[in-house]
Amino acid sequence: MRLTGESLFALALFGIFSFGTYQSTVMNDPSGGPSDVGAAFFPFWVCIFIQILTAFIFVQSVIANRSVSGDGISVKKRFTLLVSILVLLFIYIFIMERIGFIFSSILFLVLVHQLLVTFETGRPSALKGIAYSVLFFSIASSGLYVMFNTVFRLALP
Amino acid sequence: MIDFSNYADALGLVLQFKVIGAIAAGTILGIIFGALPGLTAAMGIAVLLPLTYDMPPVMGFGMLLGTYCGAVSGGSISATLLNIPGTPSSVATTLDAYPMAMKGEAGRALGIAIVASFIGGIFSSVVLSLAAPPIAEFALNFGAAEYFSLAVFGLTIIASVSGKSMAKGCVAGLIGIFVSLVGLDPTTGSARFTFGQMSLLSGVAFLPALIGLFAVGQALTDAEETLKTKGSHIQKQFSSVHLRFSTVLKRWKTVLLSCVIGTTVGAIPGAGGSVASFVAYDQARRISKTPEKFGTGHDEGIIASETSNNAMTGGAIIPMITLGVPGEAAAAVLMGGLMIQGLRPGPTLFTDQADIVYGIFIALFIANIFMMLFQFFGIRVFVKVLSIPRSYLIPIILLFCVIGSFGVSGNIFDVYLLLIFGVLGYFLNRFGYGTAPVVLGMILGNVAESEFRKGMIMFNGDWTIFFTRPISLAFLACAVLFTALPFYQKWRENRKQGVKD
Repeated sequence: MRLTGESLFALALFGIFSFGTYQSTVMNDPSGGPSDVGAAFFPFWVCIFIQILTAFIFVQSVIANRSVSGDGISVKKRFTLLVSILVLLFIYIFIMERIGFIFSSILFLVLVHQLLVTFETGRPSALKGIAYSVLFFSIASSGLYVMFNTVFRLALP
Repeated sequence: MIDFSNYADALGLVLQFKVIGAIAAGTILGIIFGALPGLTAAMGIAVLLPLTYDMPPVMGFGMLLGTYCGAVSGGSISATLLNIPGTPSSVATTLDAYPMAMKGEAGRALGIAIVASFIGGIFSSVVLSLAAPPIAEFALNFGAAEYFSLAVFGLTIIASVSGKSMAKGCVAGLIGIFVSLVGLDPTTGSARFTFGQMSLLSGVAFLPALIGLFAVGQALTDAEETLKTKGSHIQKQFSSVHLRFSTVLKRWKTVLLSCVIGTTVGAIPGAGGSVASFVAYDQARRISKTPEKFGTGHDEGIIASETSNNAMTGGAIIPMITLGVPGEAAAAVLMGGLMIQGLRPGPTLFTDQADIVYGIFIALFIANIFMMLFQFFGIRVFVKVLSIPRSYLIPIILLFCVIGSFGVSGNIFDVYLLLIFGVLGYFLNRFGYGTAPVVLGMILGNVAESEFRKGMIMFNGDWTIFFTRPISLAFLACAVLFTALPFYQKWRENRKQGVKD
């Protein structure tokens, strides 16, 4: 039995919503009156239905031995790119309030840009390219900071 | 009943320099989002949504409408020049626009597409302004039972037409419903799935979830494109673009048919622009005197596709603004644009805020006019946009998403939510579940639960009210019908196949 990404995702959803079903049974469930179904009614049945459907999808995908790709991208490359962007995003969000919007944004934008360039061309940009991207993203970040703070009145760190 | 005094009040709201400017800015950004393959109308609206938070409702929503119209039409630019649809609703446009461009008539193809989009958009704007008030008036009769049944109907439609399989569409819709249940239960006040997080007591913040699902998820998918495409051939050279009104209006039967199809399909929750354009394309071929020319660079093919996909825009807003049930994914995001302004779509909006509603109708007209003018005058600028490398575009989009999520509430927790929903959106797209059902589940799930419980309390636990009240029964019957329809169609196909064998 070969587990594809699709079947693993269905399995993950099944697991998450199994936990949801359990939580629905142990949560504090007061009623809003004698005719009220209670706070846990909808969450319980929603989780049950998701479990049933994801179990069906899991079995279907395992039997069909279905692989989603077919676009020629290796799983390893796809996974590495995705995880790298997510890690950078997470770090960006973490440091944004600590070192401020502009500096954290410049760092984030340059690093994501270099990551994408490396994956696209197989090698990072030359020094000139890096310098150009730092300049471009510095201007973009500063401009966006001013625009959002003054024109749209959205408070940024 | 059309109240023209409402239009007079609404004109006062719309005809202000800043409002017109916002609609214009939204239209230009929408055309850019639409022209760039991989960026969708829903994504563009989601990214710009936080910017409208501090704007007056008509100004903010007008900007989003401009984005919507611009994006749907802008998809024809890359469809013509790259043979890649800029948005899903332009897939059918590639069938004739690109072959026409290959013959050296890219300018002609773009001119036809622009005019066809304009006519479709204006037609659906008229239908919206005529149809929405009576539907809203009818919906004033709805009670708890009717709203619950309507929510169920909306959810079953979405599940049946979205995603690669009905089961996956249902799962996505149910995930959305589950997300809507997080937080304090409105009836009893008990906390559900908050895990001690204060930020979740008022529920999952709608805006970061929306932006995460549509924008971050899509950006992560687009990042994968850097792993395969090494650049597409762009037809940069083309003759001047003229607004081909005479060419389009000569095919008035195709235009009229496509307008009606687009508006009608748009009004059906879940169907969307791609369905509208393909149905219109197919029907146009059937009624054409030269069906063999379709797919070779034929005027009628472009006219059918582009007229219907822009006619879809007004149609999709009808159920959204009158009943609170969005017609398609981008309309669901647009609905978020109303909700962050504190406006609840539905019949009461027409009675309490009529000037805003009619202002929205006028804004849609203006957005369609701007869409035509900006594409006509700025087409060469928009073509240059196609050359922007993804390695610059994707980081900027992610930055906009983070700004949008943080800027509205000032709560860093919302940005982490953005990340979680971005990952969810990526996997849902990747494995064919779709993200539109999730958003619709989030919107309709709340309605379904609160109206169900309200109905049960009001009628002392008598659940038969959902079946004995005629309108409620009608919605539930339609829900069953739309759920059974795919199975029936499959059974018929299998039967036909069995007979052939």
